[in-house]
Amino acid sequence: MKLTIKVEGLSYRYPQTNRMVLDSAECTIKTGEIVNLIGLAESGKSTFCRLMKGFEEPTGGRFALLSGDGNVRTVRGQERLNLMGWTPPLPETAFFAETVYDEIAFGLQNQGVEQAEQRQKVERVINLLALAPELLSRYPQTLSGGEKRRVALASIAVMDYQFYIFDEPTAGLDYNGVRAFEQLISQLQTEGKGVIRVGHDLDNMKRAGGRFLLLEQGKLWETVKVEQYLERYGAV
Amino acid sequence: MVERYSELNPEVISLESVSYRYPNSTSDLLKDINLTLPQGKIVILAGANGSGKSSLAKIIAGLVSPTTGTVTFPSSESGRAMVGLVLQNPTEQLISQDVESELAFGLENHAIAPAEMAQRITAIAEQFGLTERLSTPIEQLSDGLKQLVAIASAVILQPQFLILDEPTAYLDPYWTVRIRKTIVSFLPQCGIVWITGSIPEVLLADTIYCLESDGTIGYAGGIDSTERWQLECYGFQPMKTV
Repeated sequence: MKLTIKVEGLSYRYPQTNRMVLDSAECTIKTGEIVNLIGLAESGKSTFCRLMKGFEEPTGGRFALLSGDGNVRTVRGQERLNLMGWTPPLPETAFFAETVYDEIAFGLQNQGVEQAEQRQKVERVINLLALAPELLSRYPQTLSGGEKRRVALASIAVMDYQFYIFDEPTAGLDYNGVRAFEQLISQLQTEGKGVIRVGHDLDNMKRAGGRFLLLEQGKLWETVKVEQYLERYGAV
Repeated sequence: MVERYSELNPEVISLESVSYRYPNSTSDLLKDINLTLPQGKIVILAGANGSGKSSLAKIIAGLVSPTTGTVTFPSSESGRAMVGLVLQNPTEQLISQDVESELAFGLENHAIAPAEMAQRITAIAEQFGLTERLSTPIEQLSDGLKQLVAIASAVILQPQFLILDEPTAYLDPYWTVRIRKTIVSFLPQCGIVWITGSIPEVLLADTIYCLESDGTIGYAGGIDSTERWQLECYGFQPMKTV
């Protein structure tokens, strides 16, 4: 069933600084679409992602969920945690498992998914991310930077969420790594999942497709043209 | 490995037959690398993830010793020439409580007089848009701002060589362009060694060296009109950039 997240009057104030980073922000994000979230440094992109994931509740406003049958209701943090997959910037810094396989399958193992299905899902996701099966038995810390990043992305993509939030997934990735990530999100979109991609690599984002959502001075602007954004900040 | 200081050639870091192997590894990550890195020029290091660019950057900066081979640094009055390094992941580099202490850390270690320290911190904070953030705890900064602080902390020491490992990866378009211009402005007093996959940055190169998967240097040359460098260094056909 098609789902829509409706962000309504979303506000957030950092407890430490009292700075209002989100100020009555509004947008809609649907399953089956790729949304590129852009904005200047400190504009609150990562904060928005963490709120959306459900780690915290906003200071004001709400995340509402519209289901295909027209039903609208607030989705609170605990439910968003189950609805959204999320990777932070530099997700590979959180590795803890002994093998790449266990790193990727950790979530599935916790859900009690039986072994054959686990392996099938892991193999599928590493194939999408162009990771060689030989890597599965390796100690994650011995991989190259690009491989580590793809393993970290795989560990979230292997799980069955309705929406996936990737915060700066391609920073530091080489050309093949970026292409592998884009292959993954294209597949997620085909499967009817919603994808939120945060980043500054506008060339890649434009090529891979999806709509642009700009976070600026606490507000979200939908259907933004990249050229206008670059022009506004003197980056052309 | 031998580390030499040369007074004969004061404006060049040179690597002769440098190889590097991780402890416990059975093969070389870098193999027989010969490089000359001149002051006043921009050298771009290219290569796929895992090809050893970051390790090479640490060797050039004198932070890691090669397994075999020689690195020669120009000498200065105080010994070795000042080489600044900006790591790929800014969180690995920042060690202080707040922005001001981070900027002051290198200066304190080089025994810069307090009056000059204050002057340099004020100037660099303005240049990097950090004036309002000097007392902000590092942990409260976004990744983009952490990267700016990491670059500023290296630049504040006025190094003769600046080694930059993907310095704009977490920066927004405004700061990406501003930092690019700032880096170029350090020429000709400084030699720049720059790891990047961003084409507008690669186009600033005097020389590009591309590390191959076998640990050797493949392409070594400038930006030529055949655009062979795009295919050989970045693995793709020439394309338009934004």
